[in-house]
Amino acid sequence: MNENILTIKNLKKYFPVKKDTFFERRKYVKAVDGISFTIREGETLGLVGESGCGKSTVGKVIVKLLEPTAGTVSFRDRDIYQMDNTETAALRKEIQMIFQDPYSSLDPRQKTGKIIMEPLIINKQKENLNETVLKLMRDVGLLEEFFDRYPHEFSGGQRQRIGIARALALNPSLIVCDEPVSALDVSIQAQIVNMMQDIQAQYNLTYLFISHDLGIVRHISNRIAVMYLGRIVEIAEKKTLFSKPLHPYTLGLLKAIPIPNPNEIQEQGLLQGDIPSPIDLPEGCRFHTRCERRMDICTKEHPIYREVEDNHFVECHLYD
Amino acid sequence: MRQSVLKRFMKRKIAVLGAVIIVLFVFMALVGPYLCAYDPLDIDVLNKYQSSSREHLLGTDNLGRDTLTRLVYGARITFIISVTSVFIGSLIGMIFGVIAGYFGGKTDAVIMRATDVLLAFPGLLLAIAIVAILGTGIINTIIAIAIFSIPYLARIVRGSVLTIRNSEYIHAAKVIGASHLRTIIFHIVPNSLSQVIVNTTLNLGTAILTSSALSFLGLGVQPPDPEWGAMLSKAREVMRSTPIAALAPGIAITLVVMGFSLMGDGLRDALDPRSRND
Repeated sequence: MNENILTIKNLKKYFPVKKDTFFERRKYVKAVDGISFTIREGETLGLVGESGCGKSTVGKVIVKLLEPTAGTVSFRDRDIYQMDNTETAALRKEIQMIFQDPYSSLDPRQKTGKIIMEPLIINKQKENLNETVLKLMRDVGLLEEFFDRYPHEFSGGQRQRIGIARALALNPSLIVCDEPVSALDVSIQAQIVNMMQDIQAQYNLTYLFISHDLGIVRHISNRIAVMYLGRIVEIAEKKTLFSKPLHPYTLGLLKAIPIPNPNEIQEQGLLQGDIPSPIDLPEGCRFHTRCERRMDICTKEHPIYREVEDNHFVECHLYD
Repeated sequence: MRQSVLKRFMKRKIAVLGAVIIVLFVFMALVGPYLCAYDPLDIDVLNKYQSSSREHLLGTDNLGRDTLTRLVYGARITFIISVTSVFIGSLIGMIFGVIAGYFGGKTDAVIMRATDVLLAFPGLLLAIAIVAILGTGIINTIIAIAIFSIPYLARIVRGSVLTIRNSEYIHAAKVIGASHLRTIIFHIVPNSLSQVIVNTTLNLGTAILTSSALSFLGLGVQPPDPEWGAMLSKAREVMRSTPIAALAPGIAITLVVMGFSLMGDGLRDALDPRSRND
């Protein structure tokens, strides 16, 4: 449980912005700007943040869909960007991904069975193909007769189950879930999240669960990392984070969770303003433009990411 | 899904009319020669330039050959030239389009500039230039028309591949370890195929027009082989006295080109989910 399955050190991913004129200095979107964290074997690490904070980029770098600009990603102490082709092929079996949009993550011209079978064929597991696929379909709650149907015949929830079965096919150890339920109806979300928890136990999976929905992350995660403008500002055990949030941004996010009781009054102190552009980042602490507890130092110096308590990291001048 | 495309196609009466015209002409090309009383190359100078009669329904040409028989045999040549050339051209164009769209960057830039060069020539001029280099004849006509349809297909396929490439299912294919070749063959090509079918159909009409034009100018199919464009060219001299000799191949060309256009438009509407308004 405590062994690290994935270690990320000082990861950066910059995207070049198209220049308006030839002589302009090239600018970059700093989607991920120097983050470090670890994922432990068997846990679920929730990664939350507003849209555009770089959380999906982190997921894509981990599954090698995007090359990092700097930093290292190590899977079981091997840098995944130093691997040769055979090692990369082996890595594909270990790290899989569940995509956000079940309407575009399935090839419209392939039948369900074929979609789930494809990872097996590519990785040369030729025995009992049909039986394996049918077992996967049962595990994710799909009926056997769906085998010969096209994706467009299914609802969003069922499509997402197909996507999950495809990710499970290679029996991976780590699955990057990139907002797996945010495109679904709320009533379906719970079903899918519960099913994901069941298969996590059954297949001994580790999840990196990327989401902007704190409620769902609270339900599924063991630990939670909060991202803001390409940086992780706080990371802690779920209980600690919800009972004793340290970073003002985390506090703001927690206050923004809707309360399902209309008689209870929503706490004051919601986050104000918009997220600054990741091209022209504010000086000093990135959050100072929206922070309620801003100090002089915040506009000048970037705070240091430090372990304030056991396993509780935060990046804020309040805790210097 | 295939069923519904057919259904949507059948709803468009004009498109169905185009399809019927094409089917009739194809039938004529396949079966017609077995029903003809004359040989398309039999010369009968005594009966040249006849108007339509019981013996010669569409009259005879400058050497007394039966126009109807030559029309029927000409359909074969016309279809062989247009179908093979468009098939070859589409295949090559599609390969270039897929490569350009999928890999992007410099590969894309090089291929697209090459198609720009080809597209800069007016279509017929390009075909004439190619025939001038290669020489006349059926095979060279096919090559000329094939080259001329490459850039159109390459552009259209590239466009659709650009959108497909950014779909999550292509990312998913990469994550499960699919190679470039596998991704292209199993995911990119099947999803851009409807575009290819539509444009190939539309190109067939253009190809027939070009091959007829080449033959009309004496650069395509050579006499004595019956070809609609060549027949039109010979009959032009006697347009006033025996108009039927020019009208028959002229109308045949018009009908077939129109048939392919209507069918292609109908296919495009039936395959394009965005225009599903009925």
